[in-house]
Amino acid sequence: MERVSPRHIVSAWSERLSAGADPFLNNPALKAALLDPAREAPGITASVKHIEMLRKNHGSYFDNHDYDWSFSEDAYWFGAEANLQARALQQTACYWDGCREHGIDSLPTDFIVIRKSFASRFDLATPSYNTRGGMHFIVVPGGFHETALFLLTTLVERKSPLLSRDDSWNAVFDLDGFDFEPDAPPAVLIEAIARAIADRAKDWDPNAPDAGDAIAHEVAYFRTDAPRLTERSLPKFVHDAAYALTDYAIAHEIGHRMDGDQAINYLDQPEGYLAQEKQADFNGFQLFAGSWGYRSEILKDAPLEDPGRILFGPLIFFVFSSLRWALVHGVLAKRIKTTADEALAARLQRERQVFAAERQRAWAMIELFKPYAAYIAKRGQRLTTDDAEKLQRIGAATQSASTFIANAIDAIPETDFTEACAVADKLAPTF
Amino acid sequence: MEQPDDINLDDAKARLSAEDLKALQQLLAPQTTLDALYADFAKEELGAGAIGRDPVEAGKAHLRNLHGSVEGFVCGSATVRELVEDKTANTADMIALGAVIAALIDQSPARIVNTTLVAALIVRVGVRKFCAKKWSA
Repeated sequence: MERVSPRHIVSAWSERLSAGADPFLNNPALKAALLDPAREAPGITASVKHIEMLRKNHGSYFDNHDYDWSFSEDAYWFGAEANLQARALQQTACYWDGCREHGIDSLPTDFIVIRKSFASRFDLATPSYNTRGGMHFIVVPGGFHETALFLLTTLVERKSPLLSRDDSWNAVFDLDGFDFEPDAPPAVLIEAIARAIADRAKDWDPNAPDAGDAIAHEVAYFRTDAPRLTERSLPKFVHDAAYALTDYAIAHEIGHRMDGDQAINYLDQPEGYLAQEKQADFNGFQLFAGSWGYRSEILKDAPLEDPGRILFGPLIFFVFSSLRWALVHGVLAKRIKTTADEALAARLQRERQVFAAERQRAWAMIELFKPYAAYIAKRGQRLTTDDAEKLQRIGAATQSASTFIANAIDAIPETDFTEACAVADKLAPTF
Repeated sequence: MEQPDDINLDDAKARLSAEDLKALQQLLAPQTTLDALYADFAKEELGAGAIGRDPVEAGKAHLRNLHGSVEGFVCGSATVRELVEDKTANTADMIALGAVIAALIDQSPARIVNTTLVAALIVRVGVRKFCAKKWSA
């Protein structure tokens, strides 16, 4: 059988998927502005080297799966794509070796390609899985990482605004949160709310002002003197947690590939949808847990033992999902409350219904923690009581932070909120 | 951007198979809602998500993402403009408009998508709205 070539990967992405998944890459002028091959080359080279190291350690996996193309720098446009591909292969190669070691049949993990899109909306920011041209694509929107940074920073800064970079891990375990409410939402949350209101105008006209910036500029409530998220260094916890979150999200999407899942519309089949997502979670956990070793350096500052660090993966997925739900659902609920447009209210109500699934989904993740702990225990890793308590504290802090976000949105003066919506609507497409 | 060739109505119909034309008729039938078209589009194009997405909103976002790839082809067509500005247009003309748009998308970088479904979406959304940026420039 003919081996997959780098050209096949790039053409399957650019011709069959990216036009809809990415708002800018099919416009040659915009692509040229976004893509500077010289800037991307070092990142691509470093990640390809990482994949070559993987082949040295997991030769059997690469002998049995057609990933020759992944060693060619021509297979990638962006350093981030090569980096995500390396992280995916790290997980699948370890999973394959682990299954062989334990005499277990492995599920399919071949023909997986990770690509980055520039889509930046918060409400559609989660990665997705789709097949094209015989390849299994996992598309990671730029908005995914950005949403995560906003929400995870909100989690820690709710208690300690503008927390110093090095204190954040310990501060996180002190976030029981129920006894503390700041006088005002931290600047990062106000910025995140403006970005969520701006969603419908995002990714539309690259020559128009950014809708989130326009809201911050034009609406009194959203103006702040605090440095924007992009202008300050991230608390260490946020940096580490965002890395673990991306790895876990990729693992979850590969979990769909392992079962050959098809898209299910939640509104048509809510139970089938949730069952499929839960199974992808469990498949993903096996990948995430099995490839633990390489990640210990990344989480070296986390005051957790290895089993706690492994369970931190699905936990941070729960944290992200819960906080994102609070933000997007809160903005939708406020728009429904403040709009006089009945058709718009009905549409927003439907979106809210789908986001209710995200809430259900988040709780389904918690139900999986016992099987997860049992899974790693079988492989000789036991969660300490101390770490279990720390993880529970993050879970509790997430609950109170979700309520805090919802309350913060609710407390925005109606005039400021409707003015912000009007600013975004002016910049949004008419269809 | 690749320069599109315009296409006349007869050529457009000739390029579409009988099955595609039948599908277009169904997609543009009054009982098929715009939201249903968006949801079908999202299901076909977006695959499985990590966390729940509203399929209608996802379908809309997907069409907006495609906009840049097809705008020059659809909105630059004199045939499309003529059909849109025909004030006597009826249902049959809408299907003809859909056929022309499908044939134009077939020349664009987005040709791999379900061109019939995207053409139906553009007709149902309103070509004037879809082409507002280009036609007002």
